[in-house]
Amino acid sequence: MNGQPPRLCRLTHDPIDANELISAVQTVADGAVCVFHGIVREDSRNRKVRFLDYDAYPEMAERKMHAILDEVAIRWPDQRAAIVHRLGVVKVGEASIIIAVGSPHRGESFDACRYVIDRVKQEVPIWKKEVFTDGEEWIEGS
Amino acid sequence: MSDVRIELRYFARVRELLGRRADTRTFPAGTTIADIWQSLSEECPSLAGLTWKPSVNQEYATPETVLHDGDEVVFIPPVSGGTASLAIDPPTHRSMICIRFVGRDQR
Repeated sequence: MNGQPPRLCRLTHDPIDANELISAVQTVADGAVCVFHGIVREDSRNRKVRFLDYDAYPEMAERKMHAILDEVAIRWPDQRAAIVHRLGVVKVGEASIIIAVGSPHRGESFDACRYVIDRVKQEVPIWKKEVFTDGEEWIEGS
Repeated sequence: MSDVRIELRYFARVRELLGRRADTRTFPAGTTIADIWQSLSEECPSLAGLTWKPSVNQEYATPETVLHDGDEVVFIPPVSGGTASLAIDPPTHRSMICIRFVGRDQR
């Protein structure tokens, strides 16, 4: 053991608890924890969303999420990141993804957090279907 | 040359159009991912217009990839919303290999 908390990186069908991510990344060396919530919004291209339904290729999604955390460990060796992504039905106003980054200083924590969400959107095989009051549609993007 | 047995898994729009989650199918040796997509599109013509990027055994691949016995293949619809670009580039492959070794030593 080298004092690092165990890595938190998973998919879940349950609501995400941001505090769990914060605890997973924060150490006594940190002066900042940056937390990003990706939220389901009501309005999509002028249609009213009832909820989103997330589908994933789960084994590959978790593998890619771990690979992104490996990348963070290289770019920012003194930071730690955690990722939890929802699957299945996520209601308007709920978080579909939360990312937390613990860092000695605030500036790099914002950089790393932005990096993680951008990479998740590029690499991780998760898809969302928007379910409207009047139909549904697969969206190419998370 | 013997046949290859391929595990196909379907997700999102591909799954809905095909109406099933997975298939195990046998193809002649030398079959590529593009060949399999071709045969699926013949069976289900509404697949034809879809954009996808393949994975083999949970890593991204190219449509020309020749498959081996037991490979798991997925046709991955785009996961990126619009023109996602990175503010910061990912680390190089070489540095990823280094961190794997460093990481193991520390545990």
